[in-house]
Amino acid sequence: MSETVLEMKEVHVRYDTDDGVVHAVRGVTYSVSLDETLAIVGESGCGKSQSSFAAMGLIQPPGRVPAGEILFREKPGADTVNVLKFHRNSRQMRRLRGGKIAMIFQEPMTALSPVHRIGMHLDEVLCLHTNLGKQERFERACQLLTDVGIPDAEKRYHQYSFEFSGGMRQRIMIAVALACNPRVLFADEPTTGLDVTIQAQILELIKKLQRESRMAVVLITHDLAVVAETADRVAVMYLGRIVELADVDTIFATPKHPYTIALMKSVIGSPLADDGRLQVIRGSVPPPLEHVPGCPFHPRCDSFMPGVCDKVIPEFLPADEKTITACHLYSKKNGN
Amino acid sequence: MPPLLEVKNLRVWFPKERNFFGNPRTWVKAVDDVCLTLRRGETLGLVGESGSGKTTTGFAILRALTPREGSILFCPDGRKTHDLAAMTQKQLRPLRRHMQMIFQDPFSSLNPRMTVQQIVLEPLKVNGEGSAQERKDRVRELLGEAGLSDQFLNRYPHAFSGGQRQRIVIARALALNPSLIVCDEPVSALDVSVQAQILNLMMDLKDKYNLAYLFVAHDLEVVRHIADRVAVMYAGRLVEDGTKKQIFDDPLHPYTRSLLAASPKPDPTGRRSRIVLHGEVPDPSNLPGGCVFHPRCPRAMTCCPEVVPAQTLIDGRNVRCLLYEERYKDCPKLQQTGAAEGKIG
Amino acid sequence: MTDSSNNSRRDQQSAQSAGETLDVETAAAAPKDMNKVAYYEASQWKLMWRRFRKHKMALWSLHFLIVIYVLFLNCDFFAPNAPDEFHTQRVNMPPQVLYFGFVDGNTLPGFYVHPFIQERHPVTLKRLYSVDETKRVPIRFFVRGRTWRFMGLFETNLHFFGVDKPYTSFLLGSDSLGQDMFSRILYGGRISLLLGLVGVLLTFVLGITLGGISGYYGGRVDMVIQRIAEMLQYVPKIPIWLAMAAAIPKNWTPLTVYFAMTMILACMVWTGLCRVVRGKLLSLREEDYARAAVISGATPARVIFVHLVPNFFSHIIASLTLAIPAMILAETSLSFLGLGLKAPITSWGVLLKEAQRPGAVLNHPWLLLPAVMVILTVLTLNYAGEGLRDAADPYAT
Ligand SMILES: Nc1ncnc2c1ncn2[C@@H]1O[C@H](COP(=O)(O)OP(=O)(O)OP(=O)(O)O)[C@@H](O)[C@H]1O
Ligand SMILES: Nc1ncnc2c1ncn2[C@@H]1O[C@H](COP(=O)(O)OP(=O)(O)OP(=O)(O)O)[C@@H](O)[C@H]1O
Ligand code: SF4
Ligand code: SF4
Ligand SMILES: [Mg+2]
Ligand SMILES: [Mg+2]
Repeated sequence: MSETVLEMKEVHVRYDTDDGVVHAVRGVTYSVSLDETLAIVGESGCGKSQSSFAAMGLIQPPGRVPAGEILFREKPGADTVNVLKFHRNSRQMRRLRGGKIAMIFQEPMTALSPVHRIGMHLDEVLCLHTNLGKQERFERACQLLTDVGIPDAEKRYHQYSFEFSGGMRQRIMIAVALACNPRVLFADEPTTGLDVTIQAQILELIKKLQRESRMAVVLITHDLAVVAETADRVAVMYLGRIVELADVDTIFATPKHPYTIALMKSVIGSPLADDGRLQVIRGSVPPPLEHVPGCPFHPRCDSFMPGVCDKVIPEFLPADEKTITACHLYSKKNGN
Repeated sequence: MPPLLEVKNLRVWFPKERNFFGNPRTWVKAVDDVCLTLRRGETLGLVGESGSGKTTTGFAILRALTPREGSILFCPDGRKTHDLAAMTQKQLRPLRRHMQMIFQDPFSSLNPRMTVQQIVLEPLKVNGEGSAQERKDRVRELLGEAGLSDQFLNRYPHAFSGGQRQRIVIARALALNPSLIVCDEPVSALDVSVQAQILNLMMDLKDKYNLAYLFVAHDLEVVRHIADRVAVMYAGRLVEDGTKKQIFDDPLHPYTRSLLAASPKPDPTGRRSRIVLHGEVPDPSNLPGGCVFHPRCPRAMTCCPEVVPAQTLIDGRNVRCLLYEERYKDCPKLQQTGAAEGKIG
Repeated sequence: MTDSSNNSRRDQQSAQSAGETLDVETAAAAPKDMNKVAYYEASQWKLMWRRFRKHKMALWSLHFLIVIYVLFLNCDFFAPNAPDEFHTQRVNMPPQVLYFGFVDGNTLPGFYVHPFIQERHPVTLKRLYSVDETKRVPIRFFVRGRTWRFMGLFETNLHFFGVDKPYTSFLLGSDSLGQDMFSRILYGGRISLLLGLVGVLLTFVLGITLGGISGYYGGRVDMVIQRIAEMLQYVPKIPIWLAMAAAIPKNWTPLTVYFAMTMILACMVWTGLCRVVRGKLLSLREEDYARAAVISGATPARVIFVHLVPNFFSHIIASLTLAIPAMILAETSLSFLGLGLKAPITSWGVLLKEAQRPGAVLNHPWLLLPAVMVILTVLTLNYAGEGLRDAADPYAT
């Protein structure tokens, strides 16, 4: 196993809004190593994006990160630094963000400024994070555009983002993210809204670039098919917590947490799903302002144990040698 | 008995640029020469990439927009056939009860100023169905069908999640006992676990009321699950249609094959290297000549840029590809720069 | 392992039944200050009001506006003097201070003022006023005075307050003709505010019809209307006003001039509303719920009036509120320049024009009070309008 690049420990994200407190992330723990792809899956609003924003120092007030540690190893063999120690606008954070920790955003349409030529975006990151001269930056930018599969890089460098299709824009986003050889790449739904053929191209491209430039990829998605195709390990999130973490084969074949089990069964074409009627998860995700005591999944869980599940928050512990999960069914004290 | 719906040579073009007098100069050919047949109680999956004209086809069939050419033969009662394409909105109104729609975006398909009761009541009211009391009872019944409790009656749409809204839309669509429902990506905006709930509901209702669905989707797995027959669209044309088994197990058209190969499966054990299709969907206002797929086609032949493929019938299914036309099938292969070889440039 | 497969079987059975009905209660989050069901059943107007209330400035402005509209629209009742009633002996009097205390002969305390003593400067012959602190003139409420018609229906001579003859009340001073500024500001406010309202109503009619036609039919009609609107929006306003004011015949009665003015103003202001209406119609027409109504067989009239109009009505009210200040300002500046209303009609602009005399500002600063009123009204209308605009879409965050 290669060395760990990024480690999240009990990270929390809260928003204190007029209407109440939104506890968007409630203790997320995971780590990623070089060359590895960790997929974070979960339903909309479960805190996938927010947890990665925390690592990028992108949580804006009224949001804050009240607890947790995000340890990042900038160079092989070096000591780790706690990213959360840096203020989001500090020099260190700005140096890491977009440099060694990069991100591809959910909306390629809005992430590129419409009034700047796309070359500008590339030039900007290169200027901020490297000390290359003007001509060298231009050459590197063109090289990057070619790497992500944009032909005629030198001409395209001078075009505006609206002159590109959705797939092309996502390629540009990838080029911007990879400009400084990041160690960790957060890919937040990089293919949502793209067609399957384009999706396949983009995922293939990310894989290829990961192999070539050696980095850890955190792939955020709600599409389990994409996960099955690309991930090495999978973290399933529910209501701001990771409920299960295991390698991709294990989690699809023998999921442990009742939520994961139910999720896998409701996905058409997954190994656990029946051909006829789909299995469904009863109820729906509670709204963000609602507080669920105990296990966040207990109002919808079929293995619900009264008196335990609705009182005690299950700890995130290994259930066996392959899976870590947060469920009382597998914890020593309460397991039957 | 004639089929429920028969679409022949449907064309929907939108004006793109206009000349000085306001007459269109160039067109967006959103739907071009599409033929479809839908039988009673059958689900036809309409798949294709974004911009391929699926929604436009659905809207044209329901006459939410006016087609430029073609006929839409609709026979709701098994006796009289109407050509929807040739009717005015006023003439269409009595037929409206037989066809309904479920929309993609559950957040824009419900009027935010109306309560659930008013929303589901509307089709009944507009069509003068029953007395006021009968209508109210019917609304309760419909909500029950859609899996919603009747304590929701006086709530406004903002009280509901995406999945619940989609149930309200389904209740509204069922109100008049239609025989055809056009479903425009009804589950693609929903989370997986909610998708499953809605798909189950739709399948139950279909069996119960013998509904025919025109099920528009871009997710092939969903279509594989729900459809009986599948039609594949590319850049406004229908490239292939057949039974689900034919399309998924033995696709003929090179585009269908690429699409199947590119779509991911939620099963890590079957991980294979995906055949990556090169290039992108063409701009519908500036389509390539001949076969619209030829710039991306891995099997393109020298005749493909020139000849528009005709609809060819092969064991009960339609394909539009020169590979299957007697006259052209022995043409030499076209040498394309960087065509889809499973590699990205 | 057995454990987990056990679970999954249980899982399957109950999930099967769960597919049939939805037993969930919650879907969207209710804000913490509202009961859940009340929130779910709250109409758009209620949600709008809730959002509006959060905008403190707008709420205060709204209260202020209600008060001044009540005052001004009932100025016959609230003003102690008629606007054209002049007292040659009491010109350019400074404002009086209102006191609270005992007045001879009364057992209960009440409001009173001290009368002024008028002298002439021996050299300049200028009038000098000094307060006669020895006398207390009580303010009496619900007194009888000049007659007026209540909403044009019946005559009455009841007034909110007044002082006994031979005194007169000049709470905010008097002008060069000895007319009561307080009463004149009230009467002037009635004209100015009504002009704003009537003008906005006209704007509303013009904007909605033209914008509606433009947005619903589109095509060439749309193009023509939009070009006209653009032209009106971008031509310089003052020359147009000059021309129009010059075109008003001199022999028209003040009332006719007044209506002509509102028409002119409405003609200038409708363009903004027209664009709002058109834009909203264009975007709402594409909303799926409007399509769903068409597909269910609803007539175009039903689609427009049941589905489209209610959904942008709140936006229109907000735009209208924001349009009133423009009207008031336009009237004020036109009249101030001598192009709009003229005495004997009293409006804020007319009052300000009278304060134009050299030295007026220095010697009689209270003559500028109408300007203060204009500023206050315009500001509060703007705040209220902005509050409404922000609240108009209760789901936007
Ligand atoms: N600025 C904010 N103010 C208040 N709450 C917020 C804010 N941003 C995010 N949230 C809340 O944080 C929660 C998690 O959001 P997040 O964007 O991480 O979800 P996600 O898992 O990425 O979902 P999606 O799949 O929809 O992108 C949500 O419930 C959301 O309501
Ligand atoms: N009103 C219109 N005016 C002009 N062009 C239009 C109009 N409606 C649709 N189009 C164009 O027609 C083409 C087909 O659009 P359509 O919405 O039918 O595609 P679709 O297959 O439903 O795609 P998606 O999966 O993105 O929903 C698109 O290129 C679109 O830009
Ligand atoms: S802790 Fe209890 S309620 Fe939560 S998932 Fe496990 S069994 Fe279900
Ligand atoms: S006609 Fe030619 S280009 Fe078109 S799909 Fe068939 S082989 Fe490919
Ligand atoms: Mg997200
Ligand atoms: Mg569509």
